[in-house]
Order: sequence, then C-alpha cells, then structure tokens
Amino acid sequence: MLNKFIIISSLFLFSCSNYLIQAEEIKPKNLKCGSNSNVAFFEKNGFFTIDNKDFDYKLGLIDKNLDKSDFNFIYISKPQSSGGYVLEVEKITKNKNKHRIYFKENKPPEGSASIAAITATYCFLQIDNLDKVEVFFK
Amino acid sequence: MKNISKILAILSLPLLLSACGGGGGGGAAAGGVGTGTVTNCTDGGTDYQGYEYYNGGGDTNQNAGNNSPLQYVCASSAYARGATGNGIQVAVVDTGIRATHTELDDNMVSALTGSDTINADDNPVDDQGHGTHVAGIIAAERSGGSSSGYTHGVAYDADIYAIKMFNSSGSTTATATTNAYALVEATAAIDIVNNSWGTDTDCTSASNCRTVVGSGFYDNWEDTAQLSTPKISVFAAGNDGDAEPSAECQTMKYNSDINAVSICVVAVSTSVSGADYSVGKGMLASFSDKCGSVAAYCIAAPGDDIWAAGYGSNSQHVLKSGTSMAAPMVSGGLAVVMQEFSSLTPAQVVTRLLSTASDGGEYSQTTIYGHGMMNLNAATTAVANLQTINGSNLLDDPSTSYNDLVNNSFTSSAAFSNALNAALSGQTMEVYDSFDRANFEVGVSSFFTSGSYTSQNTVENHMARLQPKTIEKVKTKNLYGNFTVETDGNYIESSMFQSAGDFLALGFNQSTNSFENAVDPLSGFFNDSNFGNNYLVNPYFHAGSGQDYFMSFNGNSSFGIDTFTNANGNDLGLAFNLNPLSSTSGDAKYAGDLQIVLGTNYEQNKFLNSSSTGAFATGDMSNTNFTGIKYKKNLGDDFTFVGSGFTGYTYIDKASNSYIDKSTPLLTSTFTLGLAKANFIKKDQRIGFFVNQPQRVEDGSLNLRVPTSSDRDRTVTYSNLNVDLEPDARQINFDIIFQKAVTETSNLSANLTHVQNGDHSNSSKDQNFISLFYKKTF
Repeated sequence: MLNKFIIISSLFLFSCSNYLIQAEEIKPKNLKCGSNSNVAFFEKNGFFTIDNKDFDYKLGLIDKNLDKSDFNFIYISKPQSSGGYVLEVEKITKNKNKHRIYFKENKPPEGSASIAAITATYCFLQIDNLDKVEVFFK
Repeated sequence: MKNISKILAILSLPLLLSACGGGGGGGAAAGGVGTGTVTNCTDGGTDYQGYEYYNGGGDTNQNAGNNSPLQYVCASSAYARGATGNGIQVAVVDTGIRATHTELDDNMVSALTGSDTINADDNPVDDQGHGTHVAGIIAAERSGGSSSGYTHGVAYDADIYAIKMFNSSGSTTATATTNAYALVEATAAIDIVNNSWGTDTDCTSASNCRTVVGSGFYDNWEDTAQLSTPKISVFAAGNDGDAEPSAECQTMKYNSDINAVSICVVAVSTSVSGADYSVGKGMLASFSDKCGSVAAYCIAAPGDDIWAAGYGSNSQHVLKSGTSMAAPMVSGGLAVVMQEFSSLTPAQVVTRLLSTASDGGEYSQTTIYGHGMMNLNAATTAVANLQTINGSNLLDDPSTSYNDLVNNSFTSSAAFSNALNAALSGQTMEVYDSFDRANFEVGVSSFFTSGSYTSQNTVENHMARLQPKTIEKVKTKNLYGNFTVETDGNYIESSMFQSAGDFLALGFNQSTNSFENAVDPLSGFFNDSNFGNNYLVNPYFHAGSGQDYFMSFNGNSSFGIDTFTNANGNDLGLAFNLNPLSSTSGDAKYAGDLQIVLGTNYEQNKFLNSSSTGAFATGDMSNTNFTGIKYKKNLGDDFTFVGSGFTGYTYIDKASNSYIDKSTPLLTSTFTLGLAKANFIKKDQRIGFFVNQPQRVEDGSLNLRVPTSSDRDRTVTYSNLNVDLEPDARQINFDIIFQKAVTETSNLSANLTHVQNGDHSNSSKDQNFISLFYKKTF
C-alpha cells in the first residue's frame, strides 16, 4: 500500500515538475484590449497573427495611428448583442515554441445599461518570439 | 422518476410561455417577421438623392442603390420641403463623439461643462466609436460631394451635443447615467436626446422600472419630460431578439409624462451585405428586439449595416449594426419634423412621427414594429385638411376657427390685379393641418386669381364678339300702344317696359345705359357689347351673368335715375343722371347729349367686382361713390363724337377676422373717346375709332395681415403686407371698327384692335387683332 502511494506520488510530482519546467508563463510586451462595433472589424473573427493578410486592416480599423510593429497578435471575439463586454488575457504560457493564450470575456453586470450595437471585444498583443499559438476562450 | 419530471417540465414549458404572453399593443398580425409584404414609402426629393444620400447603406460605392437607409425613410422628400433639422439641437448620450470629424465638426456644439459623466470631466471624447457613428447617422453634414464613402445624416443641418456616459467598453454606471440626464435637463437648448443604449431586463411597473433603470436616471428623465418645453427621448429597443424591448422602453408604458415625449426604436434590415441579420429587405433585423407591449410608443427604422462616421480618423466611415443605429435614424427624423413644424409641441412632434409611419402589410404587425416604419415623406405632409386660421393668435383656443383651403379665395379686378400680383410675389403665409395644427407655408398668391382685361382679348373671344347681323327681332305691340317687348330667341333683348320718350324703363338682362342709343345716325354702334367693349357703360354698375335687373327713369331732358341690382340681390346701385344737353331738342343733325352721373353702389362681399371668400373675405357693404360724364355730339349728317369718363372712390368694408386688415379708399378711373362715321365711302358702311382706358386704380392700398410664423407654445404671429394697388402702367385700347351691309341678308364686319400695356402692366406684350366676319342669313 505504501509502495503504491509512493509510486503514484512520484508520478504526480514528476508530471508537475515536468510541466512547470516546460510551460513558462509570460507577459505580453504590449497589450491593448477593447470593444468595437465596426461590422468589418468583427465579420471575420478569431485570432490573427502578423503574417495574416487581414492583420493590418484589423489594426487600422481600431486606430490608423497604431504601429503594427507594436503588435503581432490580434484576437477578436464573436460579436455580442451589446457593448459592455470586456475581454481580458488571463494568462499566456509558452511551452517550447508553442504559446497558449487564455482569454476571458466578462459580461456586463446584470441589469446594467450598455450601448445597443452589435459589438465584439478584441485584444492586440505583442508577444516575443511568437510562433505557434493556441487560443483558449471562456 | 427524475427523468419523468424532466419530461413533464419540458412539455409544460410551452403552456407556461403562452400563459405569460400577451399584453402587447394589440392588433398584431398572426404571422411574425417576414410574413407580410413590405411596401416602401414614396421618396420624391430627387434633387437631394445624390451620392451621399444613397451611400448610407452597406454597399458603400453605389450611387443609386436600393439599400440606403435614408431612401427607406423617404428623407429626400422632407429635404425638398426644406426640412433638414436646421436649428434643432440633439444630444447624443453615448461614448462621446470625435468632434473633429469632417462630417461632424460644423454641426458640433461646444462641449458642455461636465459633459463626460463617466470620467467626470468636460471632455466627451469618443474612445469606443459608437457615439461618433450615432452622431453621424443623426447629423453628418451634407457636402454635396461624390467621393466614395461620404454620406450625410438624416438631419444633416441639426446641431449635436456630445454627452459621454459610456466607457470604452460600452458600459456605464448609475452615477454616469444620472448625471448625463441631469445635464440634459439643465441644458435648455437641447430638443432631442438620443439614447442608443439600454438595459436588457424586463420591468413591470413604474416603481419597478425606476429601480431597474436606476432611480437617479429615472427621476431626471421624468424631469426632462415635465419641463414646460419637454425634451424628446429616443431609446434603442435592444439587440437580443427578444419579444420585449429594453427596460428603458418598457418604462414608457408606466409614465404618461415620459411616454408623451419618448420613442422606442426597433431595427429593420435594409442591407444587401449584412446577411447575418437580414431576413429580407425592410424586415425586422434578426438581432432586434420587438416592440412588444411598448407598441404604442414604438417605431421601426433601418439599423443593419449603417454606414456613418468612424472615430478612427477625421474622415473614417464604418458599418455598424444594432438598434443603436436605428434610434439615431429616428432622432434625426424627429429633428426634421420639429424644424419643419415650428407650431408643434415636442409631444406633437412625437405623435406626428408615429402617426405617419408606414403601417401596411408587414408593418401592420404592431407587436413587432409598433406604429410601423418611419416615413419622413408622410411626416412632413398634411395628415388631414390644410386650413387657414381666422385671425386668432392662439392655435388651440376654443374660439379659434379654421377654413379649409378651398374656402379661401380672392378673385381680383383687372383694375389692380397687376399691382396685387407684384406685391404678393414671393410672399408666404402659414396654413395649418387640422390633424395637429402643424404649420405649412404656402404662397399668399396661391389664394388669388387675377382678373384680366387682356384675357377678354383672346382670339376666341374677339371672334366671338364679331357677331353677325342679328335676325329680325320680334316686336310685340302692347294693346295700349305705349310699351314694347323685344325678344331675341329666348332672351328679352330690350326693355320689358318702355315708355314713349324713354321716360320709364324697367328691365331684365339689360344694360341700364340707354344714353348712347338715343341719337342717330349711329345709334347702337357705341354700345354694341358684341362688337366693341361696351365702352360707354357705367363701369361701377357691374353687370353679372345676364341675371341683372334695372330700373331707369330717363327723360333725356333734364334728369334721370338709374338703379341696379343683380339677381343674387347682393349688389345695389343708384345713379342720378343730369342731362343739361339733350338731343331731343334742337336740330338732330347737330344734336348732342351730355349726361352727368353721380351715384353710389354697394357690393356684398366684393369691391370693384373683386370677390373673395374665407380668410380674404370683405364685408357686406363695400361702397363706391362715383361720378361720370358722357357726351355725344352729332357732327353733321355722318359723324358722331362720343366721350365718357368715370372716376370713383371705393371704401372696402372690412370683414371680421379677415386677412384684409385695413385699406385706404381706392381711386379709380375710366375713359373713352370715339369718333364714328356713317356712310363711309358708300352707303350702309360705317367706321368708328375708339381710344379707351379700362378701369384702373389710380391710388389706394390695402393691408394684408397674414399668419407667418408660429411657436411651440401654440401662438401665431401675423405680419403686415401692405399692397399698393396702383398698377405700374396704364392699359390703352385702340379700336377701328368697320361694318358693311352687303345685302339685306348678309353683312361684313372688320375689326382692328391694339392693346397696349395689357392689364395695366408694363411687362405685358402688346396685343394686336385683326378680325373679319361675314355672315349670310338664309
């Protein structure tokens, strides 16, 4: 029984340490989040990396003065029926050359007033050495 | 057991839902969205349907497309009437506005102190884009350009206040909403408040709604509705596709002060590209909440894929969708209506917009579309009969009366019609829609019809006057030998009773002037109304349509009396004739007649034969005192000279409440000179030459006091329009008349007429007529 416990505990600890060693949580170099009601902005949603043909266009729809060298990743959520939604980056992890980005969209408080346009939330990020990306959204 | 409970619960859900339904606006068609036919309004202002007009839809490069939201509400028809929102102040309570945007900058009002209530500062800059877009839908300027992407707002001349109440994510706080509406309440100039936002919650009573939307905001909103000049609030219904709109819209049901000046707006899709939300052009967008139980205060407007100003740069335009976009369409529409009708209270502006919405077919479903689709063509036209006001300053006073337009007229005499036309040209006055007393501007001259002397000189009339030799008249001798009756066909042509020596004449359908028939050799020639212009007739005794009676005592010696009344019994005339020189004495070859006339006439609801009705009516007893002289002299066997001149003073009797407010006496004149020769070249030929000036006003004026403006306090202001009735020229007619009896049964007539300054106007072209007429009787 004790042996069994030792073996299981060892495996657990090993797996945790392995994870902790390989999945490094990182902070984006630049981050800009907001919401926008422009149909052209959210018609195609999801994430866009700097090599995507729509990257500059999406950036420009928010602000033409934004410098695309400041960002290399865009995430646009599916549009909501109103404003008041807030998108935030919960965490970003890097495991070898793969980034995992965890987004969370907060609903407006129950019973609060919001602008009544179809609106999508977004985040622009600058992440060093961005290669492969996996996005998680809740 | 657990599963059974679950199944029962699912089965009972529809029953529960149906039990909770109902309570809507009533009258809804059974079908739902898209089950009816959409009939678009008629958009008539083609001069305003340029590139910017059509560019408001999703197809941003089209020049004459069919998805323009402006086209769908027929805005150009309102523009053509001058209704562009000019002078109306609209507050945009939103995320702020990019005030430097080139399509907004000229219409922006300087930021109010405290106008950023979410950040508690004075700088309502847009950090989200929503407010800029909303402001563009309301009042983006119309440049007239044709560059790709440019558009303009519904009320492109309205003024915009930016009040920032939302942060960059589009959410707000109770404090911010309370303070935003406190600022609205405190800013007297604001007429309309656009609220492209809402709370996605139901509420069930006034107190519950107050809690749901926030008591501070509710109280301030109510205050704005209770001001002496309340402010109109427009709210977006919401985008959750619900059967009931937002809590703010539902609040309207429970507060009569608020719902009198508030509108809830659902969104219709007019988009060609917004396929996600379009269920068919003109149908409710798939995202839009329905009017539901708020139908009485609800209207539809385009709100899917609306192209308007973006906040990203001073020239950016973007597409947005939502009832947020439909609400400013309605705010702009209200501004257009409010500008067009200065007489309407804010509540009446709301009622007019709702009442004139297109509500047939698809839009008859009130629980979906409320009153229907906004229609600015209908909203800026008369709902009911247009009417003139009776002179009162108060539109709603019980003693104020109105006349339908068709019951107001003025048919002027040619003696002054030229002067009247010149004075009224370009002058306008107000008339009022009997629906709500909305004020409409019409030309004053639209009520006036000009009398014309020259119209009598058309070729047709001229030919008609060239009558052939008349058939033999039937003369019936009275048994007593003193009276004759002369008839021509069915008409009594001459005196019914005529004594020897013309001492007494009583007549029907007969001129009172026997003067010019008295002397040979050209008896009848000077007063042949079929041939000349009745030159010697007393111009103040206005013969009517042949239904006139007269009585004349005319001894052709020293005095006489003419009286006159027309068949309607409205006009009376009396003239004393003094005959110091009479052809009955002396040698007929050189006989002469001189008659001096003094008289007066009274015209009922007329003056100088100018008739009028309704707001332009004159009184029962307009009076003209006149004097005249007629002279005729035989110059040997063949020549006869005639001359006459009349002048008179006319006093216009003012009718109560008439727009003819006052007048000075009108001095008028007429004269004729003529020379005729019998046996011209041959026997049975005669020729005559006449110079004549028709009746003309020499001096005098009248003052028209017409309604020219009205205010939202329902008062009317009148303006004086002084009309000098003296024409700018003098009409002179020249006539040469030739007659020849060819045989006993045939004759020939020729007439040459030249009319100078027709209708006493120096702008009239001279008229010349040459007429030949031959007739043979078999």
